[in-house]
Amino acid sequence: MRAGETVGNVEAWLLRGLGWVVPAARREDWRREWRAELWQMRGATDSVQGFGKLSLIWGMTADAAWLGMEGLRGWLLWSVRRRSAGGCLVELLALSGLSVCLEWVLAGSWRVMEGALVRHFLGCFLFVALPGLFVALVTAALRPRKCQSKRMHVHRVLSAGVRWRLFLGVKVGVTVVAAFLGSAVVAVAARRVMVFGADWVELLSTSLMLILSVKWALENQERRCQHCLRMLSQPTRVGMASRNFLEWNGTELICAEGHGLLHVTEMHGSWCWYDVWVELDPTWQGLFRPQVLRGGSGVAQSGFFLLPGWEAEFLRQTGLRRQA
Amino acid sequence: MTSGKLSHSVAILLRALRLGYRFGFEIMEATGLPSGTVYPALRRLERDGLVLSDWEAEGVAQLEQRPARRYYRLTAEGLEAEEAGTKRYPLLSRLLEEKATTNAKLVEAP
Repeated sequence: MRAGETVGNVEAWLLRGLGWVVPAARREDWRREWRAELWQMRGATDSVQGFGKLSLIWGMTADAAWLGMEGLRGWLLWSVRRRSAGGCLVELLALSGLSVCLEWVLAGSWRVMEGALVRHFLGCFLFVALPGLFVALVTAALRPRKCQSKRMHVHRVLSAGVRWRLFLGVKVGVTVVAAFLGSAVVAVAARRVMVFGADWVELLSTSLMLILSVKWALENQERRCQHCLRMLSQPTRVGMASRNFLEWNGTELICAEGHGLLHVTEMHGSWCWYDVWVELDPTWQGLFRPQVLRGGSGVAQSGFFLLPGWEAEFLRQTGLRRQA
Repeated sequence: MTSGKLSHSVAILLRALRLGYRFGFEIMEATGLPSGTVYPALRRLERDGLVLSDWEAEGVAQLEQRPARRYYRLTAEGLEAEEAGTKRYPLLSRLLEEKATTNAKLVEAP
């Protein structure tokens, strides 16, 4: 008997709809299990008291929601560990959330907190934001990126260049929000403990936080893969400084997914004042195949450390396998 | 999971699995727990390593003209947790009856 024939139209529709909440790797398994469970209820309708269709549908929804949350939690953890673009934004948003919590604790109520935020925005942040952003932009060591390859992976919905600029824009925006909330915490704390000079502390802390955080956001972008936007790793010194006139020397960083290398020259001259992004073609992929995990529970040879409960999810999502 | 963290619902679930109830609907029927509790709890127990699950053989399901079920069973760790739960909630042993047809694979083979 085919499982697809065992449930009614409404159940089949629900299975399809709720299935999208379940992580893709477990979706088919989940649907198959629930087809069997729903069949069971249809077969036992007369004898079962108190377990109506609605009850089971509630269970199905709760089950899908639980799996969805588990998947989301796994993705968040995995993104942060991989230092991906999503993980970076999650960290910034978490920092903003933490600032809001601190602000609420210091203010004592939402109303007071709202007033403090408005006062901080209109009284200080608004005046500091524009000059602060200007200072951050002109003092950041931004260099144009030069790519050796013209193909730049155009198979995605958005081209690499668009995703690069979109991520940069969103990151800077979230960073500014985080700086605003962080400086508001300092301002509220300063007003609580200082009788005089709290305004100066607020002004100084806001300027510093804004400039440093935006500078960080820009420099962080410089060390990301131009294809997958993950942080580049394994910085390696190349060449010798004493032979600077004869050959290139500097640092090379590599994308752990094998998308490319970034050459950061040690000494910028008129002939090489940019970082060079060298895209690796598919023939290099053999070097970046999924690694086999070894060792005890929770420790992977690839450098990731996973809590035991996450290991199964990690292996499922990445397609890695554990070697005994 | 230590016995200190065992909730009453989890203890009932573990007890039901020990007594031979093996899939979600059957456990719901036996324990009277709502479906919104049973299925997520089974997933959590599986994640924590107290329960294992596997699919019933297609041949068996076809003989009975129904889709294959996903069966859950206790691991050795789950068995320990079940014993701890029964000690903690002594009335559990009276609440559930052993399933009529005892299954051979109730507990993971050591």
